[in-house]
Amino acid sequence: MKKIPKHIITASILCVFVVAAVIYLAIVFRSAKQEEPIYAGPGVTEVRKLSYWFPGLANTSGDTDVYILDSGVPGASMLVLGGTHPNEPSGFISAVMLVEYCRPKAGTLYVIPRANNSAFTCTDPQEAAPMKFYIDTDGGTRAFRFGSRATNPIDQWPDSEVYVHASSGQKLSGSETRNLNRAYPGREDGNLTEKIAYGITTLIRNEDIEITVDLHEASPEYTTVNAIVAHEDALELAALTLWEVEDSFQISVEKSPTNLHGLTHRELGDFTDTWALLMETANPSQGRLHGRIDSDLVVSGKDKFYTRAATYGAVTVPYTESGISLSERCARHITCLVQFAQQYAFVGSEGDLDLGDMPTYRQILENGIGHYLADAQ
Amino acid sequence: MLKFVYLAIVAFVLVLITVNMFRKKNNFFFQLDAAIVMVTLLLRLLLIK
Repeated sequence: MKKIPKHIITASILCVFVVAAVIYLAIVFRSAKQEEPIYAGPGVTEVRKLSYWFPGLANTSGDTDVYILDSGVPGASMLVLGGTHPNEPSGFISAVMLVEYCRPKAGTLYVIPRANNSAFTCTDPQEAAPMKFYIDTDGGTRAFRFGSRATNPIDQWPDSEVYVHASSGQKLSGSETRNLNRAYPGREDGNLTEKIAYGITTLIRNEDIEITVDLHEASPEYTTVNAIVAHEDALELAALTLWEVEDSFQISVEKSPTNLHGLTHRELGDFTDTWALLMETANPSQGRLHGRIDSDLVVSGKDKFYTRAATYGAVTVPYTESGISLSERCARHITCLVQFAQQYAFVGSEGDLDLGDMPTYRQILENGIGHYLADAQ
Repeated sequence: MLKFVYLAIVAFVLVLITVNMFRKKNNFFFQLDAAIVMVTLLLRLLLIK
């Protein structure tokens, strides 16, 4: 019998290990496609898919749930976008909290927790970001996906060398091709990201949404952080909100630049009748200066390197050893959302919008955001 | 179309690496290197990210 050469045996064994590794990794990566449950709370009256407004999204990873919280009392309407950038978790979690806790008393609230659903299925390359982060609720720990800033390249590829924004002709880096917040107002026949933007724009137009708020985060060293960015039509509403909340926390109002295209606060204000606003909180897991990134950093916001950087004046927001927790970041978003709704009565013309009995900034800080989420089931 | 060109290139490189791995004699670490590269190429070929 002919003896099998040693190098053939080792190569064969390694091939078996390769197949085993691929199967294991495939299971791990595919788990990112499984959406974590969001439990419709007492205020939710209907759940529709975004493809209801734009059928071109049906059966794509860009289709996403739209939660409708209709108070039954005629009034104004507000759309809240979470998860435009799934690596900015306070926007996503604040939207989930609205779905699971909010009970409007007047007007209608629309919430899209996963605005860019495709971007939840991957993480950004070379960031070593966790696939999930964990929040303690009163009834156990819940896991949420930590995603990417951009649409999954599996769903939209390749990126062009230069991204040309369709309606303005503005040129940006090719990587922005998959950035939902550079794609508005979107295109019916565009790429997946532009189609998602088009779906959201169509929802706003068809439902006559009065206020649209896009929830974001930015790194603590970024200049536009702890801020409300408002389209010129929404500036008065943003200013009134600032006056109401600045006793609780420091925040600024910035006017949406007219020469920066594709963003919600510019294009939704220009192409629809909605008052478009965007909010930014400071997320230490997103910047360039943090250490190891894991669920604890995402949730606690504590990072010794940012603490040190703050002593050198390298960050633009107050940062101490106690960090900037996810609860604090969500509290900022939710407090401002409540105020947008309340202050609309003074500057709007389409009736009242009342989000009902929502926790205050202090209450969210004291109890934690998990207290206002549904229990793990 | 570009996607299929990309996949064809990945498949071609994967075949070359596999063939080389079986032909390389007396160099286990070369084979190990090849195996690690094969894992990433296979994941790309299967569009798993």
